[in-house]
Amino acid sequence: MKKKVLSFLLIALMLFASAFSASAAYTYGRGADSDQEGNKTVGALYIDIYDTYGVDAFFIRATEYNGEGSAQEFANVAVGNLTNEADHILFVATEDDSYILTGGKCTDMIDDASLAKLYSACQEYLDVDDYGIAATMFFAQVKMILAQISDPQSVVTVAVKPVEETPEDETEPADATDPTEEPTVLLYGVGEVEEPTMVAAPPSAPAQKTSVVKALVICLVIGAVIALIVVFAVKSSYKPVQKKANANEYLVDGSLNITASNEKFIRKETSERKISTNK
Amino acid sequence: MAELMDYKCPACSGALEFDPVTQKMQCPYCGSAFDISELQTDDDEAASAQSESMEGRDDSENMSVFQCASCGGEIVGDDTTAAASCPYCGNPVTMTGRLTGEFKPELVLPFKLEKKQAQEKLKQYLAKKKFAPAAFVKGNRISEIRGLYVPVWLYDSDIHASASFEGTKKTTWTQDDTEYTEVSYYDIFREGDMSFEHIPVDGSTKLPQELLESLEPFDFGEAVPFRTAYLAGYLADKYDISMDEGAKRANERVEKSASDTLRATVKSFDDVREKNIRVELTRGASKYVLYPVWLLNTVFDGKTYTFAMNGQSGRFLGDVPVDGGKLAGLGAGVAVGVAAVLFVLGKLFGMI
Repeated sequence: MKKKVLSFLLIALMLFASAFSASAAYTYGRGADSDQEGNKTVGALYIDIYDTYGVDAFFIRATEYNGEGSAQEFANVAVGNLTNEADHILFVATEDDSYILTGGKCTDMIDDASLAKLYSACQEYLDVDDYGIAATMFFAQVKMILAQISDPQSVVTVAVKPVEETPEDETEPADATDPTEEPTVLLYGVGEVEEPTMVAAPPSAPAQKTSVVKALVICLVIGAVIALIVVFAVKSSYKPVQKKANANEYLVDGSLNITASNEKFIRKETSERKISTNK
Repeated sequence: MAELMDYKCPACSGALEFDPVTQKMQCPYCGSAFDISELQTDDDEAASAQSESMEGRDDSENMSVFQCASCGGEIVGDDTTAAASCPYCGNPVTMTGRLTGEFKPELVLPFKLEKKQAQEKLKQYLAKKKFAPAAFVKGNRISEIRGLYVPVWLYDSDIHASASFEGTKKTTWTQDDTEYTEVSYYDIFREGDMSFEHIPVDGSTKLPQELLESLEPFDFGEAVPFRTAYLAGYLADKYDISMDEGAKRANERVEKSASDTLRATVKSFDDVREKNIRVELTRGASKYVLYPVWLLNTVFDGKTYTFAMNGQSGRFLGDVPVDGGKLAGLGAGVAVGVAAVLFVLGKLFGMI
């Protein structure tokens, strides 16, 4: 009985963990909204985009993983960790190439022309490995594209000030080439925010997607399910008078004599399932 | 025709009772104790020599009425009653004719535990039942306590069993972005012989089968040849479920055990499902014995609750009512407690 209860508790904890899949291990440096000259920082742009259009925008600089990995592969890894199939747009830049991945409503909203615009806005900075400016340009362009899509008459200009790029050797995580680790990606830093933040998944949005109320309700539901199991277990333990199913304890020791034994292969069935990295 | 028999103390003529502690016949009046072998050598002879009261019959109720040799009071029993006590003077009596011929048990497991141990066990048992109504636990009054020799059929059987199973082995591997699962199916066959000894089946309709089975195991190694003296001071019934009827229940248990035993020889499969089993009895034998059980009845809320104790091992059990309020409290407590722990964990690990 105790084993069963413990198993259910464990399952409940796993359910609980999966209910809030936004990982807590990742941090996002929001930074100040604007710098001393009134220019928008990347952090402020990110928040603007999320708050105004409900879109998660990410600029990720990815290092090589075990000597391999295209920008597209990194993008798939990163988007695989996104929660709740959020509307998102990711720009992933490696040393060799770059890739933009969209999801949710962004896939429909951002057309090829807009994508080309995004690539071209960032490319010249990527060519000279100036990822900080490239990131800033990306966020600024995304905001303008989304603004124009939502209101074609509007004219949006975004003043930005790129991040002072941190020397690469300082930003490289020590275990970046450890083959046992996930591909290492660096979320490109935010204005005044210290330095690029190492992430294995996109950062959780500042606006809490899982509200406290929702969390409480989920906790209570799990608690109620466990409580029901415990109650039924206790109730059944108060009725111990039951028939015995077998006579195992009356089997004479050593009396078993197997006279025939065979195992014949009949058939084989194979099924396959696509493993999706996109959620 | 059944006849009443009691055992008189050679010292004071008081009625002797079997004492489970000393395993002797004890006189509650003068304290004398006697080995059973000292008292008589042959039950039938003793019965005819000491019969003191004749049986009367009330056909309308299938009841038998006996007259107590000690006080003249009426002892009422049904057709299966084989030992009882006078309700007026407590004189233990045995209806000798009920346990002769085909109804004479081959063996008996004498009581090893006393009435007061059964009462103590009940207290301990109820003390652990935290979710029983308080009035049931604290105000528990035993309305009746009986030491009963239950008529039991013991079955021995040698069987030949064959069983078919379907076994599966599962292999999973991943290639590129596809996960493959291969399940191989096997037809498994096992055949073998095995023996069972002393499978007990309740021979009385008065005691529920599940109650006796819940009290198992009884140590058959302590069984002794039947003597009516062992019944003195206890109740006893003769069987009213025939050997053939009882065998059906024994066979059910044997079949399940045969399946379990053969199934246990099937290894290295991820999943095994029984398709069919066939059991043939190659040799069967049965014994008629008496098993010792203490029965305690309590009444609560107009309903009778029966508790039982294995008179040999002390295993004690019985269904207990549950207090709905306490159970609801437990449920609420667990729900809130678990929710609180999950919430705090969620906060600690930043999931919320």
